[in-house]
Amino acid sequence: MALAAIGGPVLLAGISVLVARSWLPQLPDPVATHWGPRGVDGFTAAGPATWQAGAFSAGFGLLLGVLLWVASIKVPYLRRGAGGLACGMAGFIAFIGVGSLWMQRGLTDARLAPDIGWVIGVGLLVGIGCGALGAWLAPGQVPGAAETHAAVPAGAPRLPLAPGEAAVCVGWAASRTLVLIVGGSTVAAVVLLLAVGAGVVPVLFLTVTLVALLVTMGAFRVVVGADGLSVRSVAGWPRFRVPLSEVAQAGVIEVRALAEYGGWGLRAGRAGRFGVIMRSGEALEVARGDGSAFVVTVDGAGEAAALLNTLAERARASVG
Amino acid sequence: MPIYAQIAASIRRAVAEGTLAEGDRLAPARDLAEGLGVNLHTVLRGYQQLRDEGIVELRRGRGAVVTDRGARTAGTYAALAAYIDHARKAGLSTDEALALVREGMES
Repeated sequence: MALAAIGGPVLLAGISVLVARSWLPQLPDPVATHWGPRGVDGFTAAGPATWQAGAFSAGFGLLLGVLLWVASIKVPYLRRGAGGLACGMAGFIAFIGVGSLWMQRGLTDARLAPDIGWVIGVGLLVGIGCGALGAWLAPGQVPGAAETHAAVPAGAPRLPLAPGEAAVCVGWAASRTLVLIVGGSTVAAVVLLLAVGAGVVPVLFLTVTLVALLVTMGAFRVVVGADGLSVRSVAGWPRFRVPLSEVAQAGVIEVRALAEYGGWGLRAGRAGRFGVIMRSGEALEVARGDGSAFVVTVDGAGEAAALLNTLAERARASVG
Repeated sequence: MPIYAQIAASIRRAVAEGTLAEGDRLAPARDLAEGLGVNLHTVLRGYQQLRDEGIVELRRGRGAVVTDRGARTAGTYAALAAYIDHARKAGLSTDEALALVREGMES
């Protein structure tokens, strides 16, 4: 955990400083460190410039990493996200720092520094790569940590199922509004970029990013059945499961997306809650054995909760 | 009863009871298979049986949709349950009750 969320940003920042330092003899002094709409508009002495981006990258990455790491103690779903976001952000910033110095090597005057657009573009990709690596390195949830053997509380809703009878509950966690907003802004942004004469690369980059966002975060399939709860995006990833062995109790709650979760998507809330929050209103809440809870906004949450309680109880009875 | 037939029966019953109306979409077979812990082809076979009976239509991209013919059977199940109840109270045997049904349907 600490390795990815704290070691990752420090390592990335360290590498960027070492690399930048090695170029010091070839850099102009001062070097360009800020680009505005009309090109270079900010300069820094070459010496400090070689470590400033690294320091910023480490600081920002560490801040994110530590914040999420602390949050993940209550919300185990954030464990991978902590490593991923910390490394991704640190990698992005560190690359921009190193990249902007790399293209100034051999220049005598920093005012001649070329445009920084491609550095930011490649930096985004590097950031995504570092983020994926950090998320992969960070340990996920400890298998079995959320399991429970306690009986499902008597007051929890149940579904009358005959012994041996199978049942399944399916639904959508999706928001048409959210899809329309993201889809609409994609189209608007592409039109705008084309109108101002932007190149093909940024337009393509933006389109691919937003379309990827839509298919991975736009709509989720919710299935309650023999394996417990499964929430899967239409793209197949991301996917969340709460197996029956982890279901302490399922119920229906009213969710206020903005007030309680700060927005929509994959969100962490108070009291160890994490979930797929696509709208305000009725949601299925599954309390797990470790005190955390998974929440998903879905119509017909009452039936889904009753079925989940019934199946969890049955599974526990059969295990003994 | 094989699993695919059980799946078909429970959907047939939901249509007859009016829980599923004309134009309603059945759950994607993949989700149903996952939730029931059975093979996808088992669910698809159940859906195909319902299609052969004319209760649902299978459309590419839209999945299985309840047909108007299927929806017209809504209420039949409830009426049947009431008839069985009456028949039992009247002390009719299964064969006698069935004979009455056959007589009524064929007259």
